[in-house]
Amino acid sequence: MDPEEKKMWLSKERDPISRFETRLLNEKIATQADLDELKARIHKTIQEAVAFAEQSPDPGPEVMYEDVYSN
Amino acid sequence: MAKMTMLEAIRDAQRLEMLRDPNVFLAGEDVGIMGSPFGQTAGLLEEFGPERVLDTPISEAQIIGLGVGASAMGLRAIVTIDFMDFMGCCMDEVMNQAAKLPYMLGGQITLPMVIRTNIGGGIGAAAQHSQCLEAIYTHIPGLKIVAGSNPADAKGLLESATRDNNPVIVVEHKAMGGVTGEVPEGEYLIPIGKADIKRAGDDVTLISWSSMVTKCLAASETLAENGIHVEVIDLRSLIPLDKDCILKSVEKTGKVVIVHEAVEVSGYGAEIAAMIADKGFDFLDAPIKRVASPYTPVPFSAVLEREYQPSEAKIVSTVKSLF
Repeated sequence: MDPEEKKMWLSKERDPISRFETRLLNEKIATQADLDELKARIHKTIQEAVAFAEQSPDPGPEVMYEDVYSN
Repeated sequence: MAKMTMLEAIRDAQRLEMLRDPNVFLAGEDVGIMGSPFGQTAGLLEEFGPERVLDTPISEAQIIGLGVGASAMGLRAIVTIDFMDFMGCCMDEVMNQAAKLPYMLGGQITLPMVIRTNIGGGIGAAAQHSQCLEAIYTHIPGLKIVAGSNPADAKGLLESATRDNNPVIVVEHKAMGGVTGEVPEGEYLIPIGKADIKRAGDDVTLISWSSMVTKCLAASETLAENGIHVEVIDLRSLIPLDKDCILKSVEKTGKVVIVHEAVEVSGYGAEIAAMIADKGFDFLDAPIKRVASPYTPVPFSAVLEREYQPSEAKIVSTVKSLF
């Protein structure tokens, strides 16, 4: 991969997440505080999911047959 | 002979065929600058240039379509669909174009085309990236399907597939890339349509391909300690199927266990079992058994994936159940 191309796509001007944030702020759809709160909430949700997964017992073999078909 | 990994052998086969025949070219996602996700085409763009090593967009239909058109016009395409799970996106190009064009055109064209693709679980890649779908393609006349179970076979089959005048699906296994073995140096061809007896024995015939050959060989050691001597047939070529090799072995042993990683229901084992029942019924002194994956998608959980895949222990217990 071309390192210059990678750098270009990771820049604030190109990265779609940064661009979207900038647009939300510019168009006053969201404040910086809103975005910070949103990011904190997402982070917390993920951390809780990871903790839940790590603390759960291993699934029994019957679990692999669940949800293949719906009732 | 040289010691190579599976990935190195696959790269070596493509390189040698490109050196031999200027009509051979590669196309697929990341086969060029990246040298493929696991290095299967590393350095080939530098060696052969962008006209013969094409990085394509993420469009399976376009990748196969390109291969079909180029091969119909006289080139020899080696195209790559990284995971066989993605071949649904180009089913029409494979099923209705590659497999049918020479027939529809009354033999006025040939379609010397290779589709390299990866099957299998074992790396925690979940239900959409772990399937063994080779049986689907055995149901479509016009295609050939081969699968190597070690680096030497992978190389020999891929070189033969490249020289074959038909579309050949070359099935690789994504968990076997690092497997090492002795590989003949220079051009190496393994005939398509010939099975290989990986271990000789008189008591039970084990039939498998790809990843399961390794497990059959491991199981055969355990069984030998118990006084059961199995013969391990590596099909290497699913289509055409080497019926003679299978029937000769069954005539000797009278017992068959077919082992594949794909889901058991409507797997290729069913076709092999039907063929043996039809042509070798008098040789049999036990029911034909299959060891395969259960009828459910490949689970993501590592614990469940281990449980899901056909194991050496399951092969051993199934063989023992025949006595």
